[in-house]
Amino acid sequence: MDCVSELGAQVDEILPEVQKPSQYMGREYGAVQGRWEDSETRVALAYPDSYGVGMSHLGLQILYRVINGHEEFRAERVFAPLTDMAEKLRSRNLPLFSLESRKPVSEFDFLGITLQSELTYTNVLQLLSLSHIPLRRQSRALSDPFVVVGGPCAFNAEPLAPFADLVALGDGEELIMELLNCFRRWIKERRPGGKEEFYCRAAQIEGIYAPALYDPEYDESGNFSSISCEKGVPSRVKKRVLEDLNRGEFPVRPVIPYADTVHDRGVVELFRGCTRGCRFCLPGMVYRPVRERSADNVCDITRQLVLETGYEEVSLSSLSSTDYSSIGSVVDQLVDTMPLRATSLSLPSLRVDAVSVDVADKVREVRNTGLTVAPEAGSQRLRDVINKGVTQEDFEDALQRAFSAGCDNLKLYFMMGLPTETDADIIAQAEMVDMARRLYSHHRKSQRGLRISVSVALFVPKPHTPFQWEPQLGAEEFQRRVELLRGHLPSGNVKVTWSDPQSALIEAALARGDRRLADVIQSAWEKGAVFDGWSEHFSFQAWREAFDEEDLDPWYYASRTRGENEPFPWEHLDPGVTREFLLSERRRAFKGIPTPDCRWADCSGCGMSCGVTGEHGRVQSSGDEHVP
Amino acid sequence: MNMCPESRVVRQCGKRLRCRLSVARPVRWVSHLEFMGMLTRAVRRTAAPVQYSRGFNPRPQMSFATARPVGLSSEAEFVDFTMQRPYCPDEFGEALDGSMPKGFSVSGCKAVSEDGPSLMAALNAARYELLYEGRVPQLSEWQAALCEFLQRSSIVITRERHNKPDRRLDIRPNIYRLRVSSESCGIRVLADLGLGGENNVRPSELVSALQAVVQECLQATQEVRRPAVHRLEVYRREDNQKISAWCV
Repeated sequence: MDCVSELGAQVDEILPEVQKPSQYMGREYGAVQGRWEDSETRVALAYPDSYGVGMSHLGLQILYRVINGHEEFRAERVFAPLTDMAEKLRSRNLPLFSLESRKPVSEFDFLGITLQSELTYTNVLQLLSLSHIPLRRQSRALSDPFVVVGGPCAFNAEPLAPFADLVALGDGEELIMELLNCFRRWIKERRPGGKEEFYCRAAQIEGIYAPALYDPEYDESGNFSSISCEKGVPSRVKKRVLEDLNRGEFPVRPVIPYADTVHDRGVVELFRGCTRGCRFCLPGMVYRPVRERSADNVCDITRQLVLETGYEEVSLSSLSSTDYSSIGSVVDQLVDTMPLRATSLSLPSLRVDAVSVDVADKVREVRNTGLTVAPEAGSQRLRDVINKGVTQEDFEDALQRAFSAGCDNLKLYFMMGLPTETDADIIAQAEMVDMARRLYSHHRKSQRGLRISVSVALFVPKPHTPFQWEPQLGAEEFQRRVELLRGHLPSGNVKVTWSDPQSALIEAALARGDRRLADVIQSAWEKGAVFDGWSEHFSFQAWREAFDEEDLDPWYYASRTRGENEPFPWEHLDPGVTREFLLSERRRAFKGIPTPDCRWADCSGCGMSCGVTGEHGRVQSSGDEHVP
Repeated sequence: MNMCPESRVVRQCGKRLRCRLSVARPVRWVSHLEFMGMLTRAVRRTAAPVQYSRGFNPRPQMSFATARPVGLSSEAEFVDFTMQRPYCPDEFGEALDGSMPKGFSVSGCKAVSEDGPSLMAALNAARYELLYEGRVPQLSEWQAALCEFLQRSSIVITRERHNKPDRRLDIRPNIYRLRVSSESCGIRVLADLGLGGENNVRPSELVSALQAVVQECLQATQEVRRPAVHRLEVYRREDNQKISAWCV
């Protein structure tokens, strides 16, 4: 029997009293074993949401494997405890612990936290507080872990800057190892210069931003004006790019959770980045260029993954799976040669067209789970504005194929409050639903049997996108447009859900916020805000009071059209695409001019140095190429 | 003690393989549903010719003796696997043992008759070990207390049920035997309780009922810590005979 530490024994005492205790247990298949003492440098990898959400995240599994591939380093996992567990830890004054060794998070050298959504920011504070780590960087001791944040939201880490020691921009595989090695050298030299010196050294690593060395300034009227930095560090921090996905480590033996997770399946990453250029999309702008995994590599790791995990389902994942150049041949090969019985493939994020539906049909996805597509906007005019390269014909073709393949379930994702949107665009969304029903009854001679669900998200303008200047639509107007849509939808068989405009407002304020919002985040968290992305936990009250207390206005950040020459607090964080490109994309948006994907058309001049004009550094794969 | 009609056990390969699994203390927080999911993937990793169910989501055909409550460690989780063709039990047991996460293990695997009853229908009793560590009463006090406990004509408890109102029921008829011994680490109580269906007594219910008794004979203000509970055995109780799970 394992030797259980004192903390471990105390944890065992509270586990009978919490929901789903296995999520705090660790010891899953694929979890790292061995002893804590045998490593020199330890990293707690945290996902600031529940175990169920965090364990579905591929990035965490990748970094876990990369770090644990080295004997001297050790990575363990941490998630945000659900509220019942958090209460138990507090009432017994127990610190938050890692799943593997049940060590207090505060005993690690690093605490790495991924930022996948602005609505997890209060959970970041929750993690620090439950770990008994001082929230503010300035209050932390040399013995406290270095808090490093990364992920898509790190591209505007300013609202979290006072809580983070370091921010990692871009791909983490190589960056994390350089950071850990830099740390080891600094430790071996007996930590010269304290934390400040380590910040300076780390800031030399491409992709590392040390907010302590940067100081934002505001003008008399309280607007952000500029950011200054200390000598010896770059004034603009470039993101890190992993050039070749085939050479990066891929977790073919991931940690397999016992507990139910959001996605209970294996994941293979087809490619990273996306150049479709949807003008609202943050990942599509900041994770350029497109880097494809080779078809052979995809097939290899899929087979290995199936054998190693026993998963019944493997998802071929990326920002737009059917844009993968060899998708057809890879799916054919895999369907024919899947090593274990009854293993199914799934393709999330389908492009809206017939080719994509055909590919999905090959893996029986369409028949089993139905068709899920995101046209985002209802009218061609608005789709041109947002550069969503989907035409009415594409949509019709996709539906025709899906219905003839036996699909009875249609899920549509729309946005509302997009720039230039009018009532006619909303009514056009209803017309798309109507057309789906007509096509279905044409195939089946009846409309019954088709289930349609329409999900409407209130548009959240994101930094580093062509719409970073745009205001967010107000809650009242959003509600009116939702009602307009519902009024035009046929009754029966159509289920409509829409986002909570209040949480979307907070998301928008944080997304384009500046460093002053740190006080608001802390104050909201102190008032009980936590798990803001969960409707049952979100408290607008806490946030409104927090904004009031700090004398800041969420609408100032979310609902204001920003000036073309206005400096932004996130622009020293450089994802590669230039402000000029974003601005020209914004102008094209207002003229309704689409910008084609540079994978199949000319270079759009986004500013990202991808090496190969028009090809965007894409790794050529064997097999057939399909060009839409 | 164990009656085992030899005819039931098929020594050689078979299409119905019965495994005895252990759930060690550190992994006892895994629920029954999660345990089934873990086994499904472990079985798939072995690539052994297990029979799969038909339908959109084919699953390996497994049938369980009983659902293990969350938090209970066990060395007697019996599962029957249906194979596509006769398969060597030793080979299957070994492969399954090697493909489960640390903390779960296979302690035996045998082929059993294909037309025998299901484990769930056949088994009706289980033996648990309750280990009281730390400051606990003396053995003699325990013996007296348990004697008194068993002499009660009824022991009524309140059972909480998921999405249903609580239920009051008498567990005394289904407490078959209690034995107590002194071990180096504390006091060990062996309890034979009803298993499954109407006769089921959850070990936690016995522990709660015993808690008052224990507290009383300790005659102190200090709270006695709840014991570590472990499932030792599941069996069929028939005319006061004990039939092993291998033989039902």
